[in-house]
Amino acid sequence: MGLTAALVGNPNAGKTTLFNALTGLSARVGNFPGVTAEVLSAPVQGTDLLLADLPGAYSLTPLGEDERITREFLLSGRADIIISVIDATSAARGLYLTMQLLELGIPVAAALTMTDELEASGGSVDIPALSRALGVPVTAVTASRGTGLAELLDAARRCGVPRPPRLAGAQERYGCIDSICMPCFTLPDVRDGFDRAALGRLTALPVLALVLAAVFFLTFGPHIRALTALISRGADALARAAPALLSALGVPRPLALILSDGLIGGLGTVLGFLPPVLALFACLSLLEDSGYMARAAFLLDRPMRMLGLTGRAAVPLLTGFGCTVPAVMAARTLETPHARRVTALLAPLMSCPAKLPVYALFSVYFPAPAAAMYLLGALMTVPAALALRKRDDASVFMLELPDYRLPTLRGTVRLLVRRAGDFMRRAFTTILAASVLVRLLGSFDAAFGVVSDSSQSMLAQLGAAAAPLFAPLGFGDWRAVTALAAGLSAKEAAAGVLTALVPSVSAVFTKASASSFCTFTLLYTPCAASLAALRREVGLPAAALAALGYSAAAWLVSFAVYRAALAFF
Amino acid sequence: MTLAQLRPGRTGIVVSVGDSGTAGLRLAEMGFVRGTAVRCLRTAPWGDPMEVCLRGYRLSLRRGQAELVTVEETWD
Repeated sequence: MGLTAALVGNPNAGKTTLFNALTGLSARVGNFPGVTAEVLSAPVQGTDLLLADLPGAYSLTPLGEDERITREFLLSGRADIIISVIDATSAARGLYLTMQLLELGIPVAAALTMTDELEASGGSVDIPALSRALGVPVTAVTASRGTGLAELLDAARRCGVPRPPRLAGAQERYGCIDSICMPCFTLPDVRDGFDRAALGRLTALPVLALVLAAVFFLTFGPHIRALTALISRGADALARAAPALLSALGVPRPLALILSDGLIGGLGTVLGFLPPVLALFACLSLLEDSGYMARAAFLLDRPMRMLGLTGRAAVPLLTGFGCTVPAVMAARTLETPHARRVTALLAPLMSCPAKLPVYALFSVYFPAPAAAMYLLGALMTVPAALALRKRDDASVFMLELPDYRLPTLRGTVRLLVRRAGDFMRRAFTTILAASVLVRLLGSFDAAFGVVSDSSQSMLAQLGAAAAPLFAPLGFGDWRAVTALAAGLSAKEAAAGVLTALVPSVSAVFTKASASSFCTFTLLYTPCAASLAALRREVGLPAAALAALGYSAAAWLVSFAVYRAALAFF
Repeated sequence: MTLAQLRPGRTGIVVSVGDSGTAGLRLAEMGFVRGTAVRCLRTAPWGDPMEVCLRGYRLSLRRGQAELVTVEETWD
């Protein structure tokens, strides 16, 4: 048959759950001819019906990116059948889109989701009556349990082009929905129990703090750190054993060193990021599916608006305090391409824990350098966000607060597998290249002879060459610069190199130059893994520009800090 | 009065949406059309955004958007 069916419906209507239930893990993002954006599609298991999961949309009016993609896909003629997914608990609003779909001249079958929830809260729906009212077959589906799927596919195959309702404008459409469709429903009273706690005047913020603390603990807690340490140790052991193995195979020693240190070390770094990345996405998925994410966005919208963002950007940004990589990746969950880009670019400003060892080295001068840096980073997001702000900020912020629901395990696991693959694919090449490069530069001198003393290496020579650039910041010393260069592959490396090269911090840094060095560390180009994640979110040219931009901004701010510090200390 | 002035717990009937641009269109498409009953559930701790209930579902709106909707309060 080779037909294509498009899944169309509101965000959170259960489209993706339905899609996953029907297609399994085979979904691929790709281009359809005549459609500019990439659309997720896969064949329905056991059939030759291709299912396309279109982005969530409230209407076909192209007011936002997601609506535009949906509209373009449907008008391109790519869809032979439309499956209109309607959430029974917010049916009136979902039916608005359905009304528009009926006018396209394409066969439509409707899938009604969350009917079990509607009934659980005391409501009901007369499906045959709704079917008659709409003029299309309506099937109740519970994707998590797999009920109604066969009937839906059957209806999709047999449905015809519906009689267009001939309605113009929102007033007429809702008039039709109110008078003809909604009488098929018995609506329960709005359940407000949980929200009285989650959003109550006095309890809202404590609950939010608790939830955020839980997310932080689950994502960056000791169990995750242990996993990452395990992976690192494994990679280290392999890297130590490899040179002997490779030499035995006849590989020349310098190459063997590069392969084991750079390649295996790089692999270890990439895999080491997996535990927190997966843990964070599991948390975000739980928050989203349970409905609490919308409440968090509701509460944090006002402060986020100062950054030109909406409440939904809060959680991804705050995650940056744990690690930049998952924070940048989490930006993908935001509503508009602009919000995703800005949030991804702001995330590295939130001081990541890998920089803590660097700050700690200067504790001889300051009591709590880390606290100051965290604060500075958070403050820097404001000018940065304002600089990235869109001129015509006609962002229409409307958020639906869905009923609380229990997330399914299967859906979460599927999402995690996809995210992990995503991350591995992108991060691997970038991190590998950076790792190999840094180790190469640090192990060899200009004549490509192996060095025993790192002060002779190419990395050190590059550091010395670049040192004058940092003289105005107070630390124009090759050792400081070399440490910063090492930090480009991983921030922890900066502390390691600095400790190795500088026995006592006060020998190279004054109090003033310590402040500017810490500031520079906070703001300059993030680690290779972050850049890889950024590249995935904002594209290569923007990421490259940003990489330069962070360092340029870091230079300027550190300069200001240095001059101010000279005056004070 | 505008929807922004509707206090928590009170219900209003939409009279009109005073914006012909993107914001007004979006509001209409989300259900804010003449004759719709809207109940204000609560506001965020800092007064903005506000959560309302209409046609059996909940939405949160920023104050700026709520000010575009003119409602007539109903007294139950």
